[in-house]
Amino acid sequence: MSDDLLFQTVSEQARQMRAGKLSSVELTRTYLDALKTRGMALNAVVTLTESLALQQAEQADRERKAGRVRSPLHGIPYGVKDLFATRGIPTTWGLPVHRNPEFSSPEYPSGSEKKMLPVFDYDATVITRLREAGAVLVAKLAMIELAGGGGYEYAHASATGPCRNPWNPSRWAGGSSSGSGAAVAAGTVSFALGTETWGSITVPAAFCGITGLRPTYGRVSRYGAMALSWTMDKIGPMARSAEDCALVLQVLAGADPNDLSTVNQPPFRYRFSQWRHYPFRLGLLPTDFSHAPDAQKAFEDALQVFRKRGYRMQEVKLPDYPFNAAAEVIITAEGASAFENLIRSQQLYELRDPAQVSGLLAGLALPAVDYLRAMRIRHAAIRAVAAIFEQVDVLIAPTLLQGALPIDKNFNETWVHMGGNGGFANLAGLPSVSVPMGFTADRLPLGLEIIGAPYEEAKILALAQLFQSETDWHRHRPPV
Amino acid sequence: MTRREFTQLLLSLPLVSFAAQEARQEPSEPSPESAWLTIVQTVRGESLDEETRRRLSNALKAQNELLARLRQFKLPEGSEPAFVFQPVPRGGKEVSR
Repeated sequence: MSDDLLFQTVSEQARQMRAGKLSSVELTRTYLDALKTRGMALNAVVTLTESLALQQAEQADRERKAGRVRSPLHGIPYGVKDLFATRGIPTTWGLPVHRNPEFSSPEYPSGSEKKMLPVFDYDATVITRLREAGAVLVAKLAMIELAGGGGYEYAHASATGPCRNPWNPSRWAGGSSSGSGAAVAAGTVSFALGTETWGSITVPAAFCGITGLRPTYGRVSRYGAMALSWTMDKIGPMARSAEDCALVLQVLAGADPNDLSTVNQPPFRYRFSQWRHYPFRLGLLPTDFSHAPDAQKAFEDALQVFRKRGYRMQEVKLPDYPFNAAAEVIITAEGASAFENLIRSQQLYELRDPAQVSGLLAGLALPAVDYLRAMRIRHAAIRAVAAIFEQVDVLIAPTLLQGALPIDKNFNETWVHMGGNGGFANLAGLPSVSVPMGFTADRLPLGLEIIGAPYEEAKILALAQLFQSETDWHRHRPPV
Repeated sequence: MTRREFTQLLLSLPLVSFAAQEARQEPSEPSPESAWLTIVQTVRGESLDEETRRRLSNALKAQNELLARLRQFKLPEGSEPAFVFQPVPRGGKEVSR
């Protein structure tokens, strides 16, 4: 089967399935082969779910033959960051498989190697929804240990080792949804799920040259997902186009009584044609390009696409709030609580990155009153941020100002002049999509970030899809 | 700004507020980070090795600076935090989230 097929978008693969030119089993087998070879070579894979995948693919083909198509994802293979509970399949949270603290209880007695593996007896809501939509789970994908909750300094802060970037294996895929980014970019899954607390979808999407959607906080149920920060964690799709992200979000979105953050959301409906002639008003976030000539050129070119469409643009200044400090305090406090069992145990020292150890320990000394101060500031800040969206429809800026970083260096040395818009946007729970907008001089992808008002995923995805209808950056393939 | 860049920035700052706290102290008093370090060790119930103490000390310095920044931001008395208590339990059994 042609490699081209593996790099098609979900909607293109679905079209071939509808036309009877492609079966889910064929596509699933091809992706499994790709995962076993280049997926493994990139350190992007934790667990292949081969038997489940083939079973789901056969069922999808049987149902299609019988005239039952569950959704646009029917028969489409996907992977998930390895922090979602999957019934009967190990879930590692990026830790060595036998060290997930969730499983140091009597219900998982020591014994055979198999019994030592952390295995949940239920599926996360997102896994259930994708299964019911007919999608095919092919792999659980690599991630930074504990989603980097304590902070980390090295790409190798993962039980599977440093996740390599398909565009250049000596570079990092980004984190913490590292495997999800690399697997999509390398053409080893049709789409993947990632999670973001602060940057964990948008950063690997930008580094790997794919499209990543961070939905509004509360849009997608997190039941059965590892908790790092209860008030900051989001789950979103990582795919090869904005349209694909919309297709996946249509399946994932919706209230879930098991995650109270989701219960009051408005419905998510996406019809691209509704937005084709919408007069978008773009707010440009202040960006210092003095050390980023490649990003400046790519961003200028991207703006030109929007100018040609006649969109109004204006510079936007963020209100004066300590967004980053508040976000950091909230993640530190909630992470210290979420991982308290681990932090108080000797297993803490088995984390691969010493910065995680000290970061998580420091959280034990964070006063409750300061956490609450951060949450009070947050309350005021979201009102001020909401006011921006009375003037503009979306905010845009480069996702990051540099390409993927070397895999073998301490990030404290290399993570400089990177830019980024994650602090205020994650604190305020805003949706965001990162789409490819070009390359650095050394052929590393650069991302364009489009941030929207709460629950306005359709608007940012439509703008991203319009951008992708007039550019081909998302069609470029890495030399894997 | 990314989370990483922000925490790096904190570590690189002259730690003005932190230094001011230290200046107010008698020479024999422990520095704020060593006091916090003692708290962490007490909470965790064991002493830490030298390398962990060194790293933790740096992390606590950065954290102190972070908290000092937040404390500079004036909030009206009684302003609410950004969460609401839900008196209705969620459905389903208790899991990791």
